[in-house]
Amino acid sequence: MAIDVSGLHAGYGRSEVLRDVSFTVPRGSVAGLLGPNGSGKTTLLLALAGALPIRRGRALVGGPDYALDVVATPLRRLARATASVPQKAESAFGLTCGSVVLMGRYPHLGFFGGYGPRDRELAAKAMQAAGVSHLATRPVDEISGGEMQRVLFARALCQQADVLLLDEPAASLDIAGQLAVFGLVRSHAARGGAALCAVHDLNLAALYCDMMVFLKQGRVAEAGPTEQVFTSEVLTRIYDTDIRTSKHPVTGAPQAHFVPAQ
Amino acid sequence: MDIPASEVWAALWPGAVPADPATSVIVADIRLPRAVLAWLVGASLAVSGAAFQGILQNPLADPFTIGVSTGAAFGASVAIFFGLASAPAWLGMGALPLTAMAGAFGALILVLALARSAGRLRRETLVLAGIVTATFLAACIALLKSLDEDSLASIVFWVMGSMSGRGWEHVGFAAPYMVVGCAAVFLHARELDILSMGDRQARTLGLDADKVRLRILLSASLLTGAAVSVSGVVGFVGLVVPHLVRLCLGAGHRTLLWSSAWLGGILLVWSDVAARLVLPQGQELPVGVVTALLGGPFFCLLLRRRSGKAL
Repeated sequence: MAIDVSGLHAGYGRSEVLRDVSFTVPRGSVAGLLGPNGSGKTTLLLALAGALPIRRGRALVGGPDYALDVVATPLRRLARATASVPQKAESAFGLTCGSVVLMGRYPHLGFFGGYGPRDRELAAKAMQAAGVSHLATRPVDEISGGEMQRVLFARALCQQADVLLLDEPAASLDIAGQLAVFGLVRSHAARGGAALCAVHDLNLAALYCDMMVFLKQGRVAEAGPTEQVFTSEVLTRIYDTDIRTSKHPVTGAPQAHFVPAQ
Repeated sequence: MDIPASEVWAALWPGAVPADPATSVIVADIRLPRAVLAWLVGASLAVSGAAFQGILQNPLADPFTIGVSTGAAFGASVAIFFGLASAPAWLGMGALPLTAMAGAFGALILVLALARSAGRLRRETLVLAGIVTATFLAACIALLKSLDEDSLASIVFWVMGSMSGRGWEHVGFAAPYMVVGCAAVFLHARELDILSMGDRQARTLGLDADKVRLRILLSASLLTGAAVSVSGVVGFVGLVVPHLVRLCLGAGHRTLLWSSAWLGGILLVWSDVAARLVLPQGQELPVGVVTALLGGPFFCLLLRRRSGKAL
């Protein structure tokens, strides 16, 4: 398993956002993380990345020949196994996009070692894959939100982690950009990695995700292969909105249609 | 006193003999150590300022934000108050730098204890604890000043910052701390870059933000404490120099730290020269006054230019 979560509780301060969350994501698959606003999607991604303390329960992340307990593993080791793309980010001082991407190599460095030619090469490759090579020398405070998302995606790529944790990685992108990012996520999974990806756009999720985890009020409301859980009944229940589904004319994937209230 | 360049050269070149032996003393034992110290203090303050701005993620932070300098000023005031300022303490240097250094460390421990008592070491609590400590110590300094009219002038003059009367012993006292502090900060250039993205992202990149912030905080405080204990509170260098470098060379901390060190050093050497020469009849201005007079308007200009570019 690439991600194995059981009985996980997490939150901020006194409020508990996630309660008893359990699910697994096998290697080689892309899992969509869906649910209404405030259902705990970002919290779950932060907890799995080691950025937020896990209060109870267990979370394992793994690759072909290892599995790491998120709580017990040193952050540096964990950052070689999981890479995160946050919803948005800014740098207090305008670092260049190139140096932000290069940060993805940080968990691979030794204590005294600096970024070497191999690190720069990997960063350049990742920027090319994410289509942001032309931004390398631009300060991050001068680019658009969509461009920043792609820069952060490039950073996650050059981190070379087996598990990608993505928080709305394409939310501010145009449709071509969205398809490009999800295409990259798919090829990451095809290489044996895995991804857990919070998505707002139901249809985009249905097109690209092998499985889905629906959160509602901090609990797993539904989880399973896309064709089983992406149904009119489940979607209507989770989003409290009348939603019908049909088959995509080309791929055959289920697609959602919203019925406006009369 | 005017000394021609050729004479200065002769005084410094081993083996060469200047026309007047007094020249040799003035150049090698009075002016050279003063310039070296000014360079070291300027470099330390600028590097420390860049580090504080980085870990607090606040462009308005400077080496004096978290109260270490006020601690040093309090230590110095105590020495002046009890008449110990020039009591021989170490290699002919007065006790003042020692008490100032002790004051700096005392303030740092106080700030950390206060900030820690509120849970984990967060940026906001750190700044607040610094302000509380600095305000309290400033009140203590005011108390000392009001208790003893005689030490009032010396305390005020010292707090404004000056290089006057500093010699090789001051260089020898402060330099080791400065070298260690600078090396420690320089080693954390990459971490400072990552911290500027925020704590959560730092953690997802494998960096324990709290731990690294504390390490950088200690190194930068060491720099500040060493600089303030030999020169007083020289303002603006630590705030303006990192900004200047960022505007010209970008925000990457590796370039930023090295360039800040050079620029800060050069700036303070020339500010000190100006402090010695501006007033007639050999009177000296406190160098802190010069840097504030230069730094304030210059900074305004930079801000205006930058906002013009952003529009």
